[in-house]
Amino acid sequence: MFELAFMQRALLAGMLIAVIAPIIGVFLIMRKQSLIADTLSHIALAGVAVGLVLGRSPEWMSVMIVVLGSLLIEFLRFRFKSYSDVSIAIMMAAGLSIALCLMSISPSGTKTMNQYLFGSIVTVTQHQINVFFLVTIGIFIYFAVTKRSLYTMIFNEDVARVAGISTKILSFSFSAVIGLLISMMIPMIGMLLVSAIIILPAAIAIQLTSRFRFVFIIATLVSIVCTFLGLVSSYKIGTPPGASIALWMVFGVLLTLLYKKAKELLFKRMGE
Amino acid sequence: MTKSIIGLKNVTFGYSQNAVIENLSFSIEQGQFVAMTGENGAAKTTAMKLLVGLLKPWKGLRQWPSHLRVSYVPQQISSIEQDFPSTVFEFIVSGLWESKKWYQRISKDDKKRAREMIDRFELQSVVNQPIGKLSGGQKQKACVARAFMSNPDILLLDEPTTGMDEKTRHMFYKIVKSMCPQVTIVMITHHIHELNPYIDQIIHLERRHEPCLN
Repeated sequence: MFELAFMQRALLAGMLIAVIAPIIGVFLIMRKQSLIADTLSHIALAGVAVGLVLGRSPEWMSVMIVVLGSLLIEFLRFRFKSYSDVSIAIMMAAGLSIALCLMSISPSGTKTMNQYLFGSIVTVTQHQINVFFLVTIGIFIYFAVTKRSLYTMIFNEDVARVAGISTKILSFSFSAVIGLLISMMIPMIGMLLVSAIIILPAAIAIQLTSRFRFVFIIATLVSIVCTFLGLVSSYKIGTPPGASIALWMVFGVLLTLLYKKAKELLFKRMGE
Repeated sequence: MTKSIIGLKNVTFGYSQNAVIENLSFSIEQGQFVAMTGENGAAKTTAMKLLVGLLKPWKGLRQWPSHLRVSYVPQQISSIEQDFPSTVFEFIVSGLWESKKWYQRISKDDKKRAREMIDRFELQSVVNQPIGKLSGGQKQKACVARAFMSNPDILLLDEPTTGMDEKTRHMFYKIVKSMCPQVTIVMITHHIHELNPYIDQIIHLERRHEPCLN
């Protein structure tokens, strides 16, 4: 099956997503912002709709709008400091309602909307892969430089500020990076499942280890295995690739929870 | 004569147009162990935040030489999430990151220092445990050990003994005192009677926010 050019491209794109998405997922879970990925995917849809109505490239318009949206979420988070979830609720509602209204105006709205709602990694072009490769490298460099500062900021913002870290710049740049990655992932994975692909491997890894470095390694491995299994099963059974990958990840979460429960029971029995 | 290194001079500050601190002045000398006390609502945390620069005074001056390295352990920092992905060792080593560039590696000597700090704070038995699963008192000790790892000139501690029993508190005071005079330490506390044998100066904040220096 991997001798087919479209499957090779799908595998390549899938692996790029598998190595970069879990890194963001770990930090999002640590910051208790798992829902932000979902919100940004709603905003991406609004970006696509704006592109369609204005007759511009929906892809680039969604990148622009998502990055702007992520910055706006961060701004609202600062405004509603004690109720930071409010910013997510506001932006999710704004993104989806703008998207739905504008799509209804655009003649090709519904067709394009379906494309972005469900995505398809098997239709990815070489050009998309090249752009995504560059974005992945950029995001890697960003995390290599900011990993320690992000850790300190997530631990405690005041501690980070006293240590000389500009928490506002760091928060805004982190949000912009999430926005950029999500908008690049949506045409391949689909708006509805993009947050699952980012969050689930990280959620599994956090359950399996408490070592900071290992969390990233395990999350990436889980993501690579699930992406591979998802693509293979999608090809064999004919299921949508994005949904197949996400299903394997959900299965991974269930397995992890079962493993933890079994381990707990075993320790309990050994203690008796 | 020791030199005064940090302090506030005639500082006024408040929230939403209500001043909670008026004309507050104090100075702290290098290498001292200073306790900041006062009843609830005396704005001790606010005064510490003003001192460290997290808040900007409405009026008055903050004396703080720019070359000083500072570490801060805020109040209720022990509320670290259960799932926070870090062992106690990793968490304490992360204090070093504040004094290193992003590309500088943690050396063997750094790790050795971290182990010494872990021994000093008696955290050996939990060194490989997740930081989020420690007791409140152990988390506090780990947070202070982490703060010392960055080699600060000044360490500001906001009620660090919350969650510790009396015996642990005394052990904690001794460890902190042993870091002076290399590190100037300012600690907010409600246990001033216990802390008396260890400290060099008390800054007592009254609700009317005029300090009495002893």
